[in-house]
Amino acid sequence: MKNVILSADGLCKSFAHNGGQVHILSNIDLELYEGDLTVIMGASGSGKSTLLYALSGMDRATAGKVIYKDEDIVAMGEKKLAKLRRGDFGFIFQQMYLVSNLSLYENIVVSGWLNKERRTSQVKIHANELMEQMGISHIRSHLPSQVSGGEQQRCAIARAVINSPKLLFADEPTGALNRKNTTEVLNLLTSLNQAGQSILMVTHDLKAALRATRLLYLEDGKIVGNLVLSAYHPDKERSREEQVNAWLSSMKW
Amino acid sequence: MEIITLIKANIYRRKGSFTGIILLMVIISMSLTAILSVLDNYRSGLDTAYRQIDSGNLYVFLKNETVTEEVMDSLKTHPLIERVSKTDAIRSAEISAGGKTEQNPWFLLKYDKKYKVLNNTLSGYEKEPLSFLKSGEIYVTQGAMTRMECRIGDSITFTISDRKYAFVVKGIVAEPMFGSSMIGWKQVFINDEDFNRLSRDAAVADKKTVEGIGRCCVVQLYKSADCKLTDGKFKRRINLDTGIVDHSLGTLTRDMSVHYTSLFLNTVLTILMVFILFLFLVVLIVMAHSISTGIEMDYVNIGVLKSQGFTKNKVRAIWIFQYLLAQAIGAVAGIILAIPLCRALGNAFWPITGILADKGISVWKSFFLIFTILVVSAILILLLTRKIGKVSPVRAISGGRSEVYFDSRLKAPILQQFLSVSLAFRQFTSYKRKYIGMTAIVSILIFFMLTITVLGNVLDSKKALESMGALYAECSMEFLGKVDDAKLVEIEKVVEKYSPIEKKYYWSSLYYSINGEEYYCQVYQNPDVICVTKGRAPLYGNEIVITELIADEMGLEIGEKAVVTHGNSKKEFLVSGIFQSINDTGMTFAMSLEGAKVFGMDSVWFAGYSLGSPDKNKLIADKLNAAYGDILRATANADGGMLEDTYTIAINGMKAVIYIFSVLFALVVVMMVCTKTFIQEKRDIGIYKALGFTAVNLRLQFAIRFFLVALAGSLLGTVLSILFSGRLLSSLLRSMGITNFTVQFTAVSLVIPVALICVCFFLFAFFASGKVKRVEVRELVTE
Repeated sequence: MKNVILSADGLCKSFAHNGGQVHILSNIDLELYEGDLTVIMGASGSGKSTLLYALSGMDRATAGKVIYKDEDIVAMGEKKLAKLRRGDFGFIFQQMYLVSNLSLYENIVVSGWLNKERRTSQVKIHANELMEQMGISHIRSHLPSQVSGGEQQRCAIARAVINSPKLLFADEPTGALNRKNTTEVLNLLTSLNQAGQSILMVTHDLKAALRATRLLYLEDGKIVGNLVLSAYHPDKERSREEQVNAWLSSMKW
Repeated sequence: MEIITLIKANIYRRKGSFTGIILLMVIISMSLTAILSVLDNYRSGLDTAYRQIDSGNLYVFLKNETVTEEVMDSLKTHPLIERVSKTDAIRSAEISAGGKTEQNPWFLLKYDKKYKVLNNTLSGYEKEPLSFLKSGEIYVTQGAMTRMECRIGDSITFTISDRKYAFVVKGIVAEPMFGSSMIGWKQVFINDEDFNRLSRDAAVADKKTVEGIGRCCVVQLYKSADCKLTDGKFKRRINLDTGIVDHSLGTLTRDMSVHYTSLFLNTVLTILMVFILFLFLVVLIVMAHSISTGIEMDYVNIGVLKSQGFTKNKVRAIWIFQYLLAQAIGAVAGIILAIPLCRALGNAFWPITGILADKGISVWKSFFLIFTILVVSAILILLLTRKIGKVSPVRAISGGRSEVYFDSRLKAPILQQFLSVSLAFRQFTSYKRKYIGMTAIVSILIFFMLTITVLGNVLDSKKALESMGALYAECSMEFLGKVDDAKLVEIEKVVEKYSPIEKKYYWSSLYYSINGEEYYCQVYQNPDVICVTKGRAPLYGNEIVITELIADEMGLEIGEKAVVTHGNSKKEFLVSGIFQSINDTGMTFAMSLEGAKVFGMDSVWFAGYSLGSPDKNKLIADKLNAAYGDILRATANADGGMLEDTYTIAINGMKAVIYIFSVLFALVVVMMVCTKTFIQEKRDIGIYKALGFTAVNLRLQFAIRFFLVALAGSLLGTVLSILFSGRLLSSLLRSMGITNFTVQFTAVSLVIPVALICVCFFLFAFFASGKVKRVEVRELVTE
């Protein structure tokens, strides 16, 4: 029995538009489990990213609750949410969003220092280890504009995990990458997950979806499908692809 | 139509910048209009006042016996003189009112209707018939009232020869020639009956003493229509031909009267004008920043417009028009606001000038000035919008122009202990090009704040005043007769019982001519106290020192010879040095008592002591009066007798204007730059928020960054001030006789303006970055 790390209860998100309301998420109930690599899929405009940001507290839900450690994220104030982002949650974006005037190394350590739970030297050691692990230690002092998209995204992953977050949110992390970089980034995320990192990822890329231990399908703001998979292994990718393809077909993807 | 639509859209989208430029222009236009109008109003008021009294070009005060038929004929027949008028006068050697005593001679004249009397509210003149002066009443000028610190109804006592006469001030008359408080000599008016009585008394007294001069006359000389000489040159020519100036008690040309009367007003308004013109430079920098960042931010839009068929000139026209429109609106609003300001300032200089001025604004001059400002701005905008021509539609549409950052040599490490500060510093060094303009703005503001502070510091600094040639004496004395050296030593010993003497002055002052031109001459028994800036003091009997102003006027240099004349005496002197003095606005020279002996001077008339314990001055003056009351009259001077309240008020007023405008400019500039920076860095703010930075954290970073910019600008401004404040003040105060301004910085004078600007930048930036709270991390979502 897996532990629930984060749950949503009756989660709704709507926007005002032309005097009316457009409902993006409708009454979503959801539980995310510790150690899972949960992937949310769905057609364009189905509300995948909106769900990810509502669950992570990046965006306020219109109604409902998001419970993390017995506290409702939706009701949290700005300071508490900031604290959550500093420690318990990590984020990876499609466009990387590294701070352009900080070096790759500085982008990582700034996040670590912000947390203030570890000493300066500990953060530095951890950052160096992560950079080594991500294969970017040789370009540590480069600015984001001086490295490739894949290297930027690997830096963004290192930054996201520098504080050893309980839950890592990834919004289309391979969306802006070429095939080679996509594989590298997915391998990193998989290895992180297999080391125990809980991840919630939004993607429309089948290759990324194959890395999931659990797949959710979103349609018109509702979760309409849930597929639990075994741990990813490259040798079994073909059979896994067939299984996922079949499931996605059943979801009319 | 499409252009108007786009202009409207641009203005709406950039309403912050638009409003900011309007505000800055309002301040500039309002101030310039007010300054120009006040200057114009005073000049025309002064002209009218001279016309009303039919003033001559040269006033010569002469002993009655000097004005012989022969002298008058020689004047009347002089080819440069159109006409001559002679008015009887009575000279008073000492005037006192309340506790105040004036040693400059005042001349009592019969009241003439041409001197208009001011009404009770001082808003205009009494209508005909003019108030009738009763016996014992007197009309004085505003300058006389200011100098004596008295009001209508107060009593003024005149010492004429050896008798004292008290008069009650009945009213104020417009007498522009000697009316300013900057001029020591005065003309005052009594009724015929009193004048005749005083004249009879003075005639009797004059016969008893050789020195006593009671009865005298004022001779006014009017230049002929074809005389193109300046009043000064006219005086010199007449003196060379007739010797009338050499034999006079004193003279004043109308040009010099205008100079003295307008001196204070011109100096204050010129300082403010220079400051405002520099503020215009600030506006240009702000506009340049706004345009260049605006083009960067609108890169895609400009590309899209071009792709739709807009030519680069059309796009540039939109930009030029929107900025000029903001300036024009601000300029017109400023002119309108200047109307009440001019009314308020109308009589601000009245206590000094004694001239009633109009309170309207100089419309055409102001519009011309604003037009010039708009032309200069248009040229700048034209240059800056050249970049628009380089925007490529294809590049713009395919994602715009993303900035590439390069390593900075100023890059400092990011530190956990000072995370906000080090991140702010990184932002500053990474985008330093963007902050160059703002650094320049801060340096200009700080430069002026420090300059005016330095000017104010002089008032509090005895050393600075002394080094600029001021006779700073906390205790001064007037000798009633000849005092020998042994007596002076004795007096010094009395003084030293209570306070050490830091500097002592023994001098006389009167008007002598150099090469035919009459100047104020200071005669020192101890010439080594003269503040010489070049060469050396006139230690020998054949030497004089002159000020830079006289050196320029007469074309004299150190080592050259000049002929000094007084009455029938004449002697050749060698110019031994250049000195600085604020007496007679710098139109002065000095010599030793030894040198003045040839002109009949064998002792000094005044003494002054700069005391080590200034607070003992009253006690010392009392002791001296008690011990030597028969030979001297001692006075204790607050602030060394240097500081007129008006100067202090004016300098503090200028300080307030410069400080308030600087803070206002800082506010508008920070708001404008901060808003733009905020829009440009919105994505970074989102990233930082996603990492867990709070809004307060990020606002602090913003504020610290602007604080750093202010600090850098302040350092630059301080260096500029150390290098150039003295030179700027020397040139601005040259007309006052200060050609070598002594700049004295104190820690406080440096810290206060710098701290004020830095704190303002910090607070304004923190306030302006309040929008950080509204940045949602969701904006990083790529759908």
